[in-house]
Order: sequence, then structure tokens, then C-alpha cells
Amino acid sequence: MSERLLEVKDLRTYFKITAGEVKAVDGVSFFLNHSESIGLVGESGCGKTTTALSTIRLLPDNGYIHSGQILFEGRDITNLPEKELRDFRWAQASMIFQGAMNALNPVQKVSDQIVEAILLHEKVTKRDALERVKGLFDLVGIDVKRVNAYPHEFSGGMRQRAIIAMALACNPKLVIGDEPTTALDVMVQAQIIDLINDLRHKLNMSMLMITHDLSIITETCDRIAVMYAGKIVEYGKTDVVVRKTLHPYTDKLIHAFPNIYQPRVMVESIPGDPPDLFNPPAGCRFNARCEHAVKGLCDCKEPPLVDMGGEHFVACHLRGGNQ
Amino acid sequence: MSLRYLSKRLMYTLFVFLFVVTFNFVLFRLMPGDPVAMLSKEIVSDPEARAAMEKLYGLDKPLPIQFLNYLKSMITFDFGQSFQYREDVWTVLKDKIANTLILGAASVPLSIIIGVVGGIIAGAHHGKKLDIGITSFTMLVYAVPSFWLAMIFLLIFGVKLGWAPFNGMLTAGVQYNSVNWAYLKDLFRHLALPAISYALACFGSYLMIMRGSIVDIYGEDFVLTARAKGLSERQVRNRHIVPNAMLPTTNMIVMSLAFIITGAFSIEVLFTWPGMGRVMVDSVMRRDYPMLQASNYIIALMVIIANFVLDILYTYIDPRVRVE
Ligand SMILES: Nc1ncnc2c1ncn2[C@@H]1O[C@H](COP(=O)(O)OP(=O)(O)O)[C@@H](O)[C@H]1O
Ligand code: SF4
Ligand SMILES: [Mg+2]
Repeated sequence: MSERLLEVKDLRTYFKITAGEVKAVDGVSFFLNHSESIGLVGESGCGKTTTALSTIRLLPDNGYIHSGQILFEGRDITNLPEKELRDFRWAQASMIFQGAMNALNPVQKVSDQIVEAILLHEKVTKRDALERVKGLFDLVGIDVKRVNAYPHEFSGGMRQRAIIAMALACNPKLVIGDEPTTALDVMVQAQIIDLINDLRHKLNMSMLMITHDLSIITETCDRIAVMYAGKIVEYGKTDVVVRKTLHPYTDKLIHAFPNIYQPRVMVESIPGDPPDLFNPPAGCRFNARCEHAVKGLCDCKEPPLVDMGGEHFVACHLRGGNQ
Repeated sequence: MSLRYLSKRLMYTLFVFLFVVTFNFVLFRLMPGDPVAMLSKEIVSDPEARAAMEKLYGLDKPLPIQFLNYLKSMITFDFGQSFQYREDVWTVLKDKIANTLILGAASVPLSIIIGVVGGIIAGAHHGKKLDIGITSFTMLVYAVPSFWLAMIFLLIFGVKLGWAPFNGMLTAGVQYNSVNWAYLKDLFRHLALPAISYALACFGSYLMIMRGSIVDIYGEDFVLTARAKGLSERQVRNRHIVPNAMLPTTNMIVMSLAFIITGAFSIEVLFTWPGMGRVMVDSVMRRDYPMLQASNYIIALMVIIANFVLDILYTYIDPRVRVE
């Protein structure tokens, strides 16, 4: 089980805007093995969604992959022709989007929307597809009697369950969750996270989980990739990254989020804002907010991502970045 | 659709109808001036003659009775005598309405198709050259007053090129005993120019609404989901975007259908089409009060009916309405 399912190599995804280019993802590399899950964490605007959308090449019109490779079972997605790309989507990698409330077409039955995905990728009859939808409803904890419901007849939590069911419909090898719980209230969030965990173990699926909430990742993921301003600054096994945190930004993140199973309390937020990716700062992108920043080094030279052993990587001058 | 919903909408429609009729009634009573004076050419100073007039028009009765009589006459389409035609208003009006509906039937579907299809194409190419081209053309046509547009049409295709007649519904002087092929041919030839001008005058608002909804819906999350599922752009558009974009557009189309009945005044006048629009213009000119009142009532009725139809239609196209 050590074969790579997904390997992202030096990915750069830019957005064209009137004033020039936003380098939303600027040299991101990570990998994911079969049936492993990885969490991509970082503050809003650091390029998480763009990374996810790049892996299924579903970027907005003004976005494009400038360079880098996205290898899915060895096949490079970045230069897949349109038709193959469409076959790849959902059948191999599906996605649970951020906006739980609007991710379903309001004028179509939920089940029909799932059936649509199945029929698109598999040669089965509509009846068989509908049977599978019922099975999926059962799996994600929606009463099968609700199979004829429209999205507005579901609560937020049920809609997100339906979307998870939809993501699983074609048995994809990878499920990408882009902040799958942010739009939900806290109680429901915890239920959905439990469901995802449960399904992951049951189905042995690989997952790329995106969130700005680190506590969700520690619940769910085998690996963590911490993103800051379009780059990965720390990457490794979850317990290692959490227990032996190396990057000052990761450290701040860990202290900024409470455990999701505990009531929300005011937490120490990270002072300052992430930099503008249209015009990123020189040197380490975190230097303006870092307590440990070294003048003349951190603001001039960019720290490379260095292997600290045990598949633990970090990009910080103070942590071996000087080698 | 549940019976409960249907009866609820019916009740509501009835209520609106009563409100409109009452409003019209009150408005008429509140209008300054002496109704008797308005109804006769000479000043009625003789109290006996005045009383006779009041009796004739039921003005001697107490207000509630007057109202009930009014209501009854509205329901039975008994609008009295037209001043200008010296004939029963409804007898005159129903033929005019039929003529207007013929013009509407020839042009409205055309403008709906142009509007909806054009709106989809423009919206799907949002911001690109095709969109800018379609939108600019539409705005141009929309901004130009419809009578001016119709006049240009009339001058070029009617007068200069002589492709089609531009006067009336049928060739003057020709008699048709029945609705036969020759009659239809004549009618269609006469329809061509006014119908196309009318369609051009109308399609703009449909197109802009459709385009606007399409553009809005392109940004929705479920569209991204549909793409992520592996649907082609075309499938995304036809299965997910258009059905959603049709909601506001249907609303607008059905509501505008109610106003077909008023016809395009200017187009009917210009092409001397004997429809309701022209009658209304004439009635204003000649102060044909009963005719005007009847026309207003018919328009109000159409709007009320359109609203009702829309309520019912919506239960089929928008599942969110059904639960009510
Ligand atoms: N369509 C776009 N055009 C221009 N800039 C964009 C676009 N989408 C995202 N961005 C920019 O790219 C950066 C990364 O965005 P995103 O990937 O959505 O971050 P995250 O998911 O981590 O919040 C942000 O600075 C954002 O403003
Ligand atoms: S490189 Fe310097 S500024 Fe960046 S995180 Fe490390 S210490 Fe802070
Ligand atoms: Mg995001």
C-alpha cells in the first residue's frame, strides 16, 4: 500500500487579472498514497481551493496551470485532453465543495443529480443507478424514503450528507473535500466529520481534505500539509507535525484552533494578514508576521522545503533551511 | 400540486379581482365632475331630465346597490354603449381583441424564441465578443422607440421594396366568405411586417433577462459541482443552467403575455391593424369612456389571470414552490 495515488510536483497555478497575475499556488509539492488522507490547512486565501481545483483541472476561466505536474496513478492530469479529463473527473476523483447550501441544483431531485453522475461514467440502467443511490443514502445516514426529495427539503446537514453520497457514487479513488463543514453549524460539523471518518475507514478511500481549521485535520487525516501564501511550509505525518511542530506558522495555527468536539472558545488569533499573492513579499512569505524572523535573512532569501527525516518537511531558515 | 394550494391561489385571485373592481368603482365615483354632465353633450339643467338620466344609468340607487350592479355588469362583460361606435362595447371589443391576439400569436412566440435562445447564447459567452455583439444589438433595438423601428420597417420592406403589405389585416375591398386558403394567405402577408416589427420591439427584455439569469447561474456552486461530475460544458448548460435561468424568464414572459392584449399601440396604429391597441388610442382621442373603462378592465383581468397561471406554472418548474 505504498504506491502513490497522487503526486503533485512543483505546481504553479496562476490567475490572470487586469493588473497582471495572482500566483495563487506557487511551487506546491506533496504526495498521497492509496487509502491515505491528507489535510491541506492554512488561512483563507492561501491557495488551498486553487490547489484542489487544479488537481481536477476545474479552474475558473482566468486561472491556468503555469507549470508543474499532477500525477494521478502516474498519469499527468495537467496535459490530459478534454474528453479524458471529463472521464477522469468524479470517476477517479470527486469533490465535495465548500458551499454546502448551494452545491445542489435546486430544481432537480437530489437522487437524480446523483444518478446523473453514475450514468455519465458507467454503463448501468437508470434503475440500477437509483438502487445504488438508495444504498448511498443509507450509507451516509439519510432515510431512503427521502429519495424523491429536492434539495430545499433537506436541512444543511442532510444536504452535505447527500453531497458526500454524490461524491462516493462512482467509487472514486480520491475524494477531495474543500472545507466540507464550514457552512454548517458546530453540532452538525462534528457529525459530518464523524461520518467522513467512518466512511474513510469503511471504504478505504483516499482523501484530500481542505480546511482552515486544523482540528478537523487532526481528527481525519494521516498527513498534514500546511500552506501559507501559495506555498507549503510544513508537511508530514499528522501526529509528527502536531507533536513536533517545526514551522512557526504551524505553531500559530495549532494555537488558533480549539478542538472541534469542545465548545468554541475565544482563541488566540494570528496577528496580521496573509500577504497579497499578486505581489508576494521577498524572502520567507511569513516574515512580516513571524516572531522569529531574522533580519537580513528571512526577508531576503526564500527558505527551501527541507526533508527533516521521517517524511517531515519544513521551509524555515531556523529549521535546517540554511543547509 | 395540491388541491389546497390550488384553492388558495384561486381565493387569492378572486380577492385581487374584487379589489381591482372595487378600486375601479371607487375611482369612478371619486372622479371630479358630474357624471350626468359627462354623459351628455348638452348641459342638463332640467331637473326632470336629469332625474331620468340618473335613473337610466342607475345613479339614483344607493351606493351598495350601484356597486353590485357594477360588479354584475363587469362579470357579464356588459360595458354599455361605445360613444364612438354607437354599439355595445363588448361586441366591438371582442373582435378587436381577436385581431390583436392574431398579431400577438404571430409575433410573441417569435420574440420569446429569439429572446430565450439569444439570451442563452449571450450568457454562455459572457464577456466574449459574441455576447457583446448580441447585447449591443439588443440594447440598440430596445432603446429605439418601437414606432420608429416599425416605421423604418414599413418604409424599407413595405414602401421601398414592396415585399409585404403594410395596411390593415386584409386587402381592402376583397371579401372572403369563409376562412379559406386565400383568406389565410392574405392575412399572413399582412401579418408579416407588423408581426416582425412587434417581435423586434419585444424580444429585448426577454433576451436581457435570460442572459442576466444565465450569467448569474454560471457562478453558482452547483454549476461547479456539475462540471466536476464530468459533464461537458454543453450538458452543464442544458441540464443545469438553463432550467434554473428559465425561472425568472418565465415569470417575465407570462407577465408580459398579459399585456399582449393591449397590443403594441404604435404598431397597430402604424400598420392600421384593427386591434385593441388602436381602439384604445382612438378611445382616448374621442373620449370614449365606456370603451376605455372596458379596455382597462380587460387588461387588469389579463394581468390577474396571468398571475394565476404563473402560480400554477411555477409549481411545475420550481420544486421549491410545491411544498407550500
Ligand atoms: N478567479 C480568480 N481570479 C483571481 N484571483 C483569484 C481567483 N480565485 C482565487 N484567487 C486568489 O487566489 C488566492 C488563493 O485563493 P484560494 O485558492 O481560494 O484560497 P483558499 O482556498 O486557501 O482560501 C487568493 O489570493 C485569491 O484572491
Ligand atoms: S524563515 Fe524566518 S520568517 Fe520564515 S518562518 Fe522561519 S523564522 Fe519565520
Ligand atoms: Mg477556499
